[in-house]
Amino acid sequence: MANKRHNFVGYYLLMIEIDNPEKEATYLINWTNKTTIRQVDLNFLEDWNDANELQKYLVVSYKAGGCNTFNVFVFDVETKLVRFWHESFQLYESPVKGFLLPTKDFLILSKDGVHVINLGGKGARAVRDKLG
Amino acid sequence: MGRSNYLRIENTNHVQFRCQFQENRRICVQEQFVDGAGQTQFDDIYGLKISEPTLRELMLIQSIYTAKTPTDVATLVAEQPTPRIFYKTFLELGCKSLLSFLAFDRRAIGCLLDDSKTRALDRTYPLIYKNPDGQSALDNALELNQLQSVSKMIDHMTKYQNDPVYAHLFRRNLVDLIKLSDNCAKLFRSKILNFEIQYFEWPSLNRDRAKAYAPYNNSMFKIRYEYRRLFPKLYAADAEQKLKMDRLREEQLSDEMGYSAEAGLERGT
Repeated sequence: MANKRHNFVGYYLLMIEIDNPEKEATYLINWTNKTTIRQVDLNFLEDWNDANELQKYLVVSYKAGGCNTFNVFVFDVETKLVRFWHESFQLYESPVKGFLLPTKDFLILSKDGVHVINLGGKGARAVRDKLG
Repeated sequence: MGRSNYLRIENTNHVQFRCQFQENRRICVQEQFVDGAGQTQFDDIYGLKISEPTLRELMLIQSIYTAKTPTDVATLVAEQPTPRIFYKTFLELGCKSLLSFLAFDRRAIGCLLDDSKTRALDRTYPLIYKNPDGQSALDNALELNQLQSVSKMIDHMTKYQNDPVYAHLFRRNLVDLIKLSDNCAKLFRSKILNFEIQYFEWPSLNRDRAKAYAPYNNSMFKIRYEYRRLFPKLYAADAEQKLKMDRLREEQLSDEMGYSAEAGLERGT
Protein backbone atom coordinates (compact mmCIF):
# COMPACT_ATOMS: atom_id res chain seq x y z
CA MET A 1 0.00 0.00 0.00
CA ALA A 2 1.31 3.47 -0.83
CA ASN A 3 0.28 7.04 -0.12
CA LYS A 4 2.19 8.61 -2.98
CA ARG A 5 2.55 7.72 -6.66
CA HIS A 6 4.37 9.86 -9.22
CA ASN A 7 4.36 12.66 -6.61
CA PHE A 8 0.56 12.53 -6.26
CA VAL A 9 -0.86 11.86 -2.82
CA GLY A 10 -3.64 9.29 -2.73
CA TYR A 11 -4.62 5.78 -1.88
CA TYR A 12 -2.76 3.18 -3.89
CA LEU A 13 -3.09 -0.49 -3.17
CA LEU A 14 -1.26 -2.86 -5.45
CA MET A 15 -0.56 -6.56 -5.76
CA ILE A 16 2.85 -7.80 -6.84
CA GLU A 17 3.41 -11.38 -7.98
CA ILE A 18 5.80 -12.94 -5.48
CA ASP A 19 7.47 -15.23 -8.05
CA ASN A 20 7.79 -12.49 -10.62
CA PRO A 21 8.18 -9.16 -8.82
CA GLU A 22 9.23 -7.36 -12.00
CA LYS A 23 5.88 -8.08 -13.65
CA GLU A 24 3.56 -5.10 -13.79
CA ALA A 25 1.66 -4.65 -10.52
CA THR A 26 -2.13 -5.04 -10.35
CA TYR A 27 -3.85 -2.10 -8.72
CA LEU A 28 -6.73 -2.86 -6.40
CA ILE A 29 -7.13 0.86 -5.80
CA ASN A 30 -5.54 3.65 -7.78
CA TRP A 31 -7.17 6.69 -6.28
CA THR A 32 -5.53 10.10 -6.30
CA ASN A 33 -7.65 11.66 -3.56
CA LYS A 34 -5.10 14.10 -2.05
CA THR A 35 -5.58 12.48 1.36
CA THR A 36 -2.68 11.63 3.61
CA ILE A 37 -3.05 8.34 5.41
CA ARG A 38 -1.46 6.82 8.48
CA GLN A 39 -1.73 3.83 10.79
CA VAL A 40 -2.17 1.35 7.95
CA ASP A 41 -2.89 -2.29 8.72
CA LEU A 42 -3.29 -5.14 6.26
CA ASN A 43 -4.80 -8.49 7.22
CA PHE A 44 -6.08 -11.52 5.38
CA LEU A 45 -9.55 -12.77 6.17
CA GLU A 46 -10.92 -16.14 5.14
CA ASP A 47 -14.66 -16.09 4.68
CA TRP A 48 -17.52 -17.57 2.71
CA ASN A 49 -18.32 -15.84 -0.56
CA ASP A 50 -21.68 -15.46 -2.34
CA ALA A 51 -21.29 -18.95 -3.84
CA ASN A 52 -20.75 -20.43 -0.33
CA GLU A 53 -17.09 -21.19 -0.93
CA LEU A 54 -14.21 -20.27 1.37
CA GLN A 55 -12.24 -17.42 -0.06
CA LYS A 56 -9.49 -15.05 1.00
CA TYR A 57 -10.20 -11.37 1.45
CA LEU A 58 -7.81 -8.56 2.13
CA VAL A 59 -8.68 -6.22 4.99
CA VAL A 60 -7.07 -2.79 4.80
CA SER A 61 -7.49 -0.15 7.49
CA TYR A 62 -6.08 3.34 7.81
CA LYS A 63 -6.85 6.76 9.19
CA ALA A 64 -7.20 9.59 6.73
CA GLY A 65 -6.23 13.22 7.27
CA GLY A 66 -8.44 16.12 6.24
CA CYS A 67 -11.70 14.24 6.48
CA ASN A 68 -10.67 12.74 9.88
CA THR A 69 -11.94 9.26 9.23
CA PHE A 70 -10.87 5.72 10.00
CA ASN A 71 -11.52 3.48 7.03
CA VAL A 72 -11.77 -0.28 6.88
CA PHE A 73 -11.86 -1.85 3.43
CA VAL A 74 -12.47 -5.48 2.62
CA PHE A 75 -11.22 -6.43 -0.83
CA ASP A 76 -12.13 -9.48 -2.81
CA VAL A 77 -8.73 -10.62 -4.01
CA GLU A 78 -10.18 -12.60 -6.92
CA THR A 79 -12.49 -9.99 -8.42
CA LYS A 80 -10.19 -7.15 -7.23
CA LEU A 81 -13.24 -5.20 -6.10
CA VAL A 82 -14.20 -3.69 -2.78
CA ARG A 83 -16.63 -5.86 -0.82
CA PHE A 84 -17.19 -3.64 2.22
CA TRP A 85 -16.13 -0.21 3.22
CA HIS A 86 -16.63 1.14 6.71
CA GLU A 87 -15.91 4.80 7.42
CA SER A 88 -16.03 6.19 10.96
CA PHE A 89 -14.86 9.34 12.69
CA GLN A 90 -11.25 9.41 13.87
CA LEU A 91 -9.25 12.53 14.61
CA TYR A 92 -6.08 12.34 12.51
CA GLU A 93 -3.89 13.57 15.35
CA SER A 94 -5.26 11.05 17.81
CA PRO A 95 -3.73 7.55 18.04
CA VAL A 96 -5.71 4.56 16.81
CA LYS A 97 -5.01 0.90 16.19
CA GLY A 98 -7.09 -1.52 14.19
CA PHE A 99 -6.60 -5.25 13.91
CA LEU A 100 -8.47 -8.33 12.80
CA LEU A 101 -9.47 -11.03 15.27
CA PRO A 102 -9.78 -14.75 14.43
CA THR A 103 -13.54 -14.34 15.00
CA LYS A 104 -13.68 -12.18 11.82
CA ASP A 105 -14.28 -9.12 13.99
CA PHE A 106 -12.29 -6.00 13.33
CA LEU A 107 -11.33 -4.24 16.53
CA ILE A 108 -10.57 -0.51 16.57
CA LEU A 109 -8.85 0.82 19.68
CA SER A 110 -8.81 4.57 20.04
CA LYS A 111 -9.11 7.22 22.73
CA ASP A 112 -12.90 7.13 22.23
CA GLY A 113 -13.00 3.48 23.23
CA VAL A 114 -13.31 0.13 21.50
CA HIS A 115 -15.29 -0.37 18.29
CA VAL A 116 -16.05 -3.80 16.91
CA ILE A 117 -17.03 -4.36 13.28
CA ASN A 118 -18.06 -7.80 12.18
CA LEU A 119 -16.54 -8.40 8.76
CA GLY A 120 -17.95 -11.87 8.24
CA GLY A 121 -20.39 -12.40 5.39
CA LYS A 122 -22.76 -14.45 7.54
CA GLY A 123 -25.29 -12.63 9.76
CA ALA A 124 -24.71 -10.74 12.96
CA ARG A 125 -23.91 -12.17 16.36
CA ALA A 126 -24.06 -10.79 19.87
CA VAL A 127 -20.81 -9.41 21.31
CA ARG A 128 -20.51 -9.51 25.09
CA ASP A 129 -17.91 -8.26 27.55
CA LYS A 130 -16.71 -10.24 30.55
CA LEU A 131 -19.68 -9.01 32.59
CA GLY A 132 -22.05 -10.57 30.06
CA MET B 1 -21.54 -6.20 7.63
CA GLY B 2 -22.63 -9.30 5.77
CA ARG B 3 -26.21 -8.63 6.83
CA SER B 4 -26.43 -5.65 4.51
CA ASN B 5 -25.22 -7.59 1.47
CA TYR B 6 -28.76 -7.98 0.23
CA LEU B 7 -28.91 -4.25 -0.54
CA ARG B 8 -26.53 -4.72 -3.46
CA ILE B 9 -28.16 -4.77 -6.87
CA GLU B 10 -25.41 -6.86 -8.44
CA ASN B 11 -22.43 -8.82 -7.16
CA THR B 12 -19.99 -6.19 -8.35
CA ASN B 13 -21.54 -3.58 -6.03
CA HIS B 14 -20.30 -3.04 -2.52
CA VAL B 15 -21.76 -1.60 0.64
CA GLN B 16 -20.25 1.44 2.29
CA PHE B 17 -21.05 2.38 5.87
CA ARG B 18 -20.63 6.11 6.43
CA CYS B 19 -20.60 6.44 10.19
CA GLN B 20 -18.50 9.59 10.50
CA PHE B 21 -21.26 11.49 12.25
CA GLN B 22 -23.64 9.74 14.62
CA GLU B 23 -26.64 11.83 13.51
CA ASN B 24 -25.92 11.23 9.82
CA ARG B 25 -25.13 7.54 9.50
CA ARG B 26 -25.73 6.17 6.04
CA ILE B 27 -25.44 2.91 4.21
CA CYS B 28 -24.50 3.46 0.59
CA VAL B 29 -24.48 0.95 -2.21
CA GLN B 30 -21.66 1.82 -4.57
CA GLU B 31 -20.16 0.61 -7.81
CA GLN B 32 -16.41 0.68 -8.30
CA PHE B 33 -15.02 1.39 -11.74
CA VAL B 34 -11.86 2.54 -13.44
CA ASP B 35 -12.10 5.73 -15.48
CA GLY B 36 -10.32 6.60 -18.71
CA ALA B 37 -7.26 7.87 -16.80
CA GLY B 38 -6.92 4.56 -14.93
CA GLN B 39 -8.18 6.06 -11.67
CA THR B 40 -10.44 4.10 -9.35
CA GLN B 41 -13.80 5.81 -8.93
CA PHE B 42 -16.83 5.05 -6.80
CA ASP B 43 -20.33 5.69 -8.04
CA ASP B 44 -23.12 6.05 -5.46
CA ILE B 45 -26.05 3.91 -6.58
CA TYR B 46 -28.40 4.59 -3.71
CA GLY B 47 -28.22 5.09 0.02
CA LEU B 48 -30.20 4.65 3.20
CA LYS B 49 -30.10 6.92 6.19
CA ILE B 50 -29.97 5.04 9.45
CA SER B 51 -32.06 6.50 12.25
CA GLU B 52 -32.14 5.68 15.92
CA PRO B 53 -35.65 5.13 17.24
CA THR B 54 -36.82 7.43 20.00
CA LEU B 55 -38.89 6.12 22.90
CA ARG B 56 -42.05 7.52 21.31
CA GLU B 57 -41.26 5.82 18.01
CA LEU B 58 -40.60 2.52 19.78
CA MET B 59 -43.94 2.81 21.54
CA LEU B 60 -45.68 3.48 18.24
CA ILE B 61 -44.02 0.46 16.61
CA GLN B 62 -45.10 -1.62 19.61
CA SER B 63 -48.66 -0.28 19.29
CA ILE B 64 -48.78 -1.16 15.59
CA TYR B 65 -47.48 -4.64 16.41
CA THR B 66 -50.14 -5.21 19.06
CA ALA B 67 -53.03 -3.70 17.05
CA LYS B 68 -55.74 -6.30 16.63
CA THR B 69 -57.27 -5.27 13.30
CA PRO B 70 -55.99 -3.59 10.12
CA THR B 71 -58.41 -0.75 10.87
CA ASP B 72 -56.58 -0.09 14.17
CA VAL B 73 -53.29 0.01 12.27
CA ALA B 74 -54.70 2.42 9.68
CA THR B 75 -56.08 4.64 12.45
CA LEU B 76 -52.72 4.67 14.25
CA VAL B 77 -50.96 5.64 11.01
CA ALA B 78 -53.49 8.36 10.17
CA GLU B 79 -53.40 9.87 13.67
CA GLN B 80 -49.67 10.55 13.68
CA PRO B 81 -48.87 14.29 13.55
CA THR B 82 -46.08 13.64 11.07
CA PRO B 83 -45.47 10.53 8.99
CA ARG B 84 -41.69 10.91 9.31
CA ILE B 85 -41.28 7.78 11.42
CA PHE B 86 -42.70 5.64 8.62
CA TYR B 87 -40.08 6.95 6.20
CA LYS B 88 -37.17 6.16 8.51
CA THR B 89 -34.85 3.17 8.31
CA PHE B 90 -33.95 1.43 11.55
CA LEU B 91 -31.20 -1.13 12.01
CA GLU B 92 -33.41 -2.63 14.72
CA LEU B 93 -35.96 -3.54 12.05
CA GLY B 94 -33.34 -5.15 9.83
CA CYS B 95 -32.83 -2.02 7.69
CA LYS B 96 -36.47 -2.18 6.60
CA SER B 97 -38.72 0.86 6.64
CA LEU B 98 -42.12 0.58 8.31
CA LEU B 99 -43.71 0.89 4.87
CA SER B 100 -42.75 -2.73 4.11
CA PHE B 101 -44.52 -3.90 7.26
CA LEU B 102 -47.62 -1.84 6.48
CA ALA B 103 -47.86 -2.92 2.83
CA PHE B 104 -50.72 -5.29 3.70
CA ASP B 105 -53.14 -2.42 4.31
CA ARG B 106 -54.20 -0.10 1.50
CA ARG B 107 -55.54 2.57 3.88
CA ALA B 108 -52.23 2.88 5.72
CA ILE B 109 -50.28 2.98 2.45
CA GLY B 110 -52.73 5.47 0.97
CA CYS B 111 -52.24 7.70 4.00
CA LEU B 112 -48.43 7.45 3.95
CA LEU B 113 -47.98 8.02 0.25
CA ASP B 114 -50.46 10.85 0.05
CA ASP B 115 -48.96 13.93 -1.64
CA SER B 116 -49.68 16.12 1.40
CA LYS B 117 -47.76 13.70 3.65
CA THR B 118 -44.73 13.11 1.45
CA ARG B 119 -43.51 16.65 2.21
CA ALA B 120 -41.84 15.12 5.26
CA LEU B 121 -39.95 12.72 3.01
CA ASP B 122 -36.22 13.15 2.38
CA ARG B 123 -36.04 12.64 -1.37
CA THR B 124 -32.34 11.74 -1.28
CA TYR B 125 -33.16 8.33 0.15
CA PRO B 126 -35.53 5.76 -1.30
CA LEU B 127 -38.64 4.60 0.51
CA ILE B 128 -39.16 1.45 -1.50
CA TYR B 129 -36.08 -0.74 -1.73
CA LYS B 130 -34.96 -4.33 -1.50
CA ASN B 131 -35.55 -6.09 1.82
CA PRO B 132 -33.48 -8.96 3.29
CA ASP B 133 -35.80 -11.51 1.64
CA GLY B 134 -35.09 -9.97 -1.77
CA GLN B 135 -38.57 -8.49 -1.99
CA SER B 136 -39.74 -4.92 -1.59
CA ALA B 137 -42.85 -3.29 -0.13
CA LEU B 138 -44.25 -3.39 -3.67
CA ASP B 139 -43.88 -7.19 -3.82
CA ASN B 140 -45.53 -7.54 -0.41
CA ALA B 141 -48.52 -5.48 -1.54
CA LEU B 142 -48.71 -7.36 -4.84
CA GLU B 143 -48.66 -10.73 -3.10
CA LEU B 144 -51.59 -9.67 -0.94
CA ASN B 145 -53.44 -8.36 -4.00
CA GLN B 146 -53.45 -4.80 -2.65
CA LEU B 147 -53.73 -3.20 -6.06
CA GLN B 148 -54.50 0.29 -4.77
CA SER B 149 -51.35 0.16 -2.64
CA VAL B 150 -49.36 -1.07 -5.65
CA SER B 151 -50.71 1.75 -7.75
CA LYS B 152 -49.80 4.30 -5.05
CA MET B 153 -46.31 2.86 -4.74
CA ILE B 154 -45.73 3.03 -8.49
CA ASP B 155 -46.95 6.64 -8.43
CA HIS B 156 -44.51 7.35 -5.60
CA MET B 157 -41.61 5.66 -7.36
CA THR B 158 -42.17 7.45 -10.65
CA LYS B 159 -42.26 10.73 -8.74
CA TYR B 160 -39.56 10.40 -6.07
CA GLN B 161 -37.48 7.38 -7.07
CA ASN B 162 -37.39 8.07 -10.77
CA ASP B 163 -34.02 6.51 -11.41
CA PRO B 164 -32.94 3.42 -13.39
CA VAL B 165 -31.13 1.98 -10.34
CA TYR B 166 -34.55 0.99 -8.98
CA ALA B 167 -35.38 -1.07 -12.08
CA HIS B 168 -34.22 -4.19 -10.21
CA LEU B 169 -37.33 -3.93 -8.02
CA PHE B 170 -39.41 -4.86 -11.09
CA ARG B 171 -37.24 -7.75 -12.23
CA ARG B 172 -39.55 -10.47 -10.95
CA ASN B 173 -42.93 -8.82 -10.68
CA LEU B 174 -43.30 -6.99 -13.98
CA VAL B 175 -45.50 -9.66 -15.58
CA ASP B 176 -47.84 -9.65 -12.56
CA LEU B 177 -47.90 -5.87 -12.60
CA ILE B 178 -48.85 -5.77 -16.28
CA LYS B 179 -51.62 -8.28 -15.60
CA LEU B 180 -53.01 -6.63 -12.49
CA SER B 181 -52.06 -2.99 -12.24
CA ASP B 182 -53.47 -0.19 -14.36
CA ASN B 183 -50.54 2.09 -13.60
CA CYS B 184 -47.92 0.36 -15.73
CA ALA B 185 -47.96 2.93 -18.55
CA LYS B 186 -46.60 5.51 -16.14
CA LEU B 187 -43.89 3.08 -15.09
CA PHE B 188 -42.86 2.30 -18.65
CA ARG B 189 -42.65 6.00 -19.47
CA SER B 190 -40.61 6.80 -16.35
CA LYS B 191 -36.83 6.92 -16.08
CA ILE B 192 -36.91 3.76 -13.98
CA LEU B 193 -37.28 1.61 -17.06
CA ASN B 194 -35.63 4.05 -19.48
CA PHE B 195 -31.93 4.29 -18.91
CA GLU B 196 -30.34 7.39 -20.38
CA ILE B 197 -26.67 6.61 -20.92
CA GLN B 198 -24.48 9.49 -19.80
CA TYR B 199 -20.98 8.15 -19.46
CA PHE B 200 -17.70 9.73 -20.39
CA GLU B 201 -16.94 6.60 -22.43
CA TRP B 202 -20.03 7.17 -24.61
CA PRO B 203 -20.34 10.03 -27.11
CA SER B 204 -22.76 12.74 -26.10
CA LEU B 205 -23.27 13.90 -29.70
CA ASN B 206 -23.31 12.14 -33.01
CA ARG B 207 -23.84 13.24 -36.61
CA ASP B 208 -26.21 10.32 -37.11
CA ARG B 209 -29.37 11.26 -35.19
CA ALA B 210 -31.40 8.18 -36.15
CA LYS B 211 -32.41 5.81 -33.34
CA ALA B 212 -30.08 2.86 -33.06
CA TYR B 213 -30.99 -0.43 -31.43
CA ALA B 214 -28.60 -3.05 -30.07
CA PRO B 215 -29.28 -6.08 -27.90
CA TYR B 216 -27.62 -6.05 -24.49
CA ASN B 217 -28.17 -8.57 -21.73
CA ASN B 218 -25.54 -7.83 -19.15
CA SER B 219 -25.05 -5.68 -16.08
CA MET B 220 -26.33 -2.09 -16.25
CA PHE B 221 -23.09 -1.04 -14.56
CA LYS B 222 -20.92 -2.61 -17.26
CA ILE B 223 -22.63 -0.84 -20.15
CA ARG B 224 -20.21 2.01 -19.50
CA TYR B 225 -17.50 0.10 -21.41
CA GLU B 226 -19.71 -1.48 -24.06
CA TYR B 227 -20.16 1.28 -26.66
CA ARG B 228 -17.46 -0.15 -28.92
CA ARG B 229 -19.00 -3.65 -28.87
CA LEU B 230 -22.64 -2.56 -29.14
CA PHE B 231 -22.24 -0.06 -31.95
CA PRO B 232 -19.06 -1.06 -33.84
CA LYS B 233 -19.93 0.90 -37.00
CA LEU B 234 -20.67 4.10 -35.09
CA TYR B 235 -17.53 3.60 -33.02
CA ALA B 236 -15.42 3.17 -36.18
CA ALA B 237 -17.01 6.29 -37.74
CA ASP B 238 -16.34 8.25 -34.52
CA ALA B 239 -12.71 7.08 -34.43
CA GLU B 240 -12.24 8.06 -38.09
CA GLN B 241 -13.77 11.47 -37.45
CA LYS B 242 -11.56 11.97 -34.42
CA LEU B 243 -8.48 11.06 -36.46
CA LYS B 244 -9.48 13.58 -39.14
CA MET B 245 -9.99 16.31 -36.55
CA ASP B 246 -6.61 15.55 -34.96
CA ARG B 247 -4.89 15.77 -38.36
CA LEU B 248 -6.65 19.04 -39.15
CA ARG B 249 -5.62 20.46 -35.77
CA GLU B 250 -2.01 19.39 -36.34
CA GLU B 251 -2.01 21.03 -39.78
CA GLN B 252 -3.48 24.25 -38.38
CA LEU B 253 -0.91 24.24 -35.60
CA SER B 254 2.01 23.71 -37.99
CA ASP B 255 0.66 26.50 -40.27
CA GLU B 256 0.42 28.86 -37.30
CA MET B 257 3.93 27.95 -36.14
CA GLY B 258 5.30 28.46 -39.67
CA TYR B 259 3.57 31.84 -39.87
CA SER B 260 4.94 32.96 -36.50
CA ALA B 261 8.46 31.77 -37.45
CA GLU B 262 8.27 33.79 -40.67
CA ALA B 263 7.06 36.85 -38.74
CA GLY B 264 9.95 36.46 -36.31
CA LEU B 265 12.48 36.29 -39.12
CA GLU B 266 11.00 39.45 -40.69
CA ARG B 267 11.20 41.27 -37.34
CA GLY B 268 14.81 40.11 -36.92
CA THR B 269 15.80 41.50 -40.30
